[in-house]
Amino acid sequence: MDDADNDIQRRSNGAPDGGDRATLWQGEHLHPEGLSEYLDGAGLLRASERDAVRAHLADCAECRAVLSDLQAVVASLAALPLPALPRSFALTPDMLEARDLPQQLEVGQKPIDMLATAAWRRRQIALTRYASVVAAVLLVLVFGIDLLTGGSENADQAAFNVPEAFQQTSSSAPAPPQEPGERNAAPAEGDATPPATEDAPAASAEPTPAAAAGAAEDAAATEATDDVALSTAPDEDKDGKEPSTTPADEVTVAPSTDAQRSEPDMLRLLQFGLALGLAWLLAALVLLPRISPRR
Amino acid sequence: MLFGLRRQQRPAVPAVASEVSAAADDDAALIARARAGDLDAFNGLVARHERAVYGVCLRYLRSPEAAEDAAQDTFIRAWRALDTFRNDNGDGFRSWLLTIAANRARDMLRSNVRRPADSLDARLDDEEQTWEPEAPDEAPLDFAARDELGAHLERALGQISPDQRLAIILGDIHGHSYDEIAAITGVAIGTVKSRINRGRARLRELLLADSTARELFNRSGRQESDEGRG
Repeated sequence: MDDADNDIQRRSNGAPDGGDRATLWQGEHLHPEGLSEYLDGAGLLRASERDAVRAHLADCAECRAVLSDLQAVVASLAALPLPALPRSFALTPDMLEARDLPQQLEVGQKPIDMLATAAWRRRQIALTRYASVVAAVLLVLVFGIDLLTGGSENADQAAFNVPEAFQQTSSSAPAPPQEPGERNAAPAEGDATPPATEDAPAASAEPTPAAAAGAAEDAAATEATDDVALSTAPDEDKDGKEPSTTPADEVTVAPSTDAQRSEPDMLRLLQFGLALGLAWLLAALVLLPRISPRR
Repeated sequence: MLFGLRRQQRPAVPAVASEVSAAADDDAALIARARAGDLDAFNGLVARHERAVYGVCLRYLRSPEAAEDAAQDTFIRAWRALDTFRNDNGDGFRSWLLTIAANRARDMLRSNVRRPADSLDARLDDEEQTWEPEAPDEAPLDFAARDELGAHLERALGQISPDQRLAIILGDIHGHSYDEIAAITGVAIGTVKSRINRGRARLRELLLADSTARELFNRSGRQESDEGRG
């Protein structure tokens, strides 16, 4: 009896707390963890261990109390009621759509496909987010430059004879170079601006906000045809704010001819580059969702 | 006396387990229909197991809101991953659900540790009153503990390690076998046993450390040992 106890004690001391096995003994007494294991019944402790535990319990009131404590714990745990449901967890179709995942898998489709799809969607969402930011920045840049060049172009044309090189770059500019005022008054606002031609500096100082808006619109329209149908909403917004500042700018900027001749060229090029980038991004955004994760 | 009552209720938990196996056929039929895309059939499965899933999540996470999220997530994930449940006779569907729930709940608990202000146990330290079932308007966990000892036990459960808590919830509260718990929590059976044994020993210590709980506990313990002899 004592031998058996010592044997078990040695073994449990050999495998202290860190191991998977419960500590059976604690000094002379049974360890609560060991008793818990004993509580769970046959098969968990070895036969010799079980006998030793039984023998010790018969003699030791203290360990019997611990065992009954543990029995009370287990019984109380078992008696705990299931909590009431706060609501039903039944699935609704929009619940499944909200997660932006395929609603149901085809029978036989491997789970890994679903995981791949989920990962793909997540990546796509992140990508779309970044692309949208870049697209927004590009959009602002494109229209900002468009307005700048449009404004100076206008002043240029109004104040001096339009340089040939400049005319060539703006591909859809309708007017021949000899009539500066004509271009100013061209498609968008022929009725708004009286054909002021003879006094060029006066014309540049003259334009009302409405006329300037029209001019900017004109330039924007030119841009729009160049850049394959960029949305027109943003440039209307821009035009609404821009006119108040452009007329003043035109007056001050107008005299410097030579500098402007090369500068708008560069800006045009930059603008084209940006527009191309924007078009690419838009295409990518449209195309991305259609690319399947399965290659 | 009190304990005698509880003793009679005890079969209620094993009954849950046997209910599952008895209902396995029904589960199987519903699973087959759900796999074919029948959401109503799947919701039949939800109705069958939602209390168990929510119960495990609530006792593990200690926050009704978090438990609600975890339970809902579990069913959405289960619906999407239904084809990965291989057991065609419907056996162990609840264990499978609980595996998903345990994973989700553990993730949530981990992310919650980073924001301890949100966790119920952090609140517990400040204002213990919110925990008491006696304050029903405030009590965040409506466990409807049937007696005071149960209430103390719920509280003690919140103070043991999450791993031990999960093992005890699954084993001693929901009546799952060691094998099932090992599968649900993804650890070896030896680890499950050790977690349960340590958890129970720790619960006992916690109950004995509180004077009110100790009194209730000693009373029920003595009755238990008296019953055991009679």
